[in-house]
Amino acid sequence: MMLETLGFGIMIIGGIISVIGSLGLVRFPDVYSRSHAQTVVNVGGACLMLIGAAFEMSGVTSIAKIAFLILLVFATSPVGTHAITKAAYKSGVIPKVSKDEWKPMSEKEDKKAGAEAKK
Amino acid sequence: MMYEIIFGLMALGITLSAFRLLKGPTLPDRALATDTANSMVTVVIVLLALYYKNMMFIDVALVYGLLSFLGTLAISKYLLGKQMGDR
Repeated sequence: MMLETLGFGIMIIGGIISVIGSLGLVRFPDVYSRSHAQTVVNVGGACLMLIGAAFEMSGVTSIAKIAFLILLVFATSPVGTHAITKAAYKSGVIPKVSKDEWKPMSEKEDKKAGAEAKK
Repeated sequence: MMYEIIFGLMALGITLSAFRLLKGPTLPDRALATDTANSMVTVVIVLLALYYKNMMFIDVALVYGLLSFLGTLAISKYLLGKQMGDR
């Protein structure tokens, strides 16, 4: 009984964090700051909800599957977000900042990749 | 009663990210919104397993999580003008 109540508490906290992250997805100005809100939903919200759901389960098999699912979400969501933001920068979405510090390094990287492609 | 509150919160979150998916000015915005909605749908499938007391739903959630990750990577490769398998 105690564990179920604890699980529901964790799940409600995770749901509130998910709603806050989605609000950030709506209100932030450009892709790069929206990716921050998306990570809040994925790692904070979804992982907390899954941990809370594991408290409600009975049986070793389903708890092991939930643990694997938490590991999966925790490992894959930063990789996907990083891939999308890098692709956004390379495909020409300009960040809304006063000084773009990544620009010279990105040009150097492009030049290096071009030289390797010529070889 | 408790499950209905949590389902309501998740529905609110999915609706907000669907708004960004429909409105988003650039393609990476839509890809981010899709990824957010996918992770929330994964959680909702696990909650459905608890709601209907049928643990087979967790396997569905596992496959859904893996496939949504692959979809995100495919979209970012498409934005770079490459195909899956290129460097």
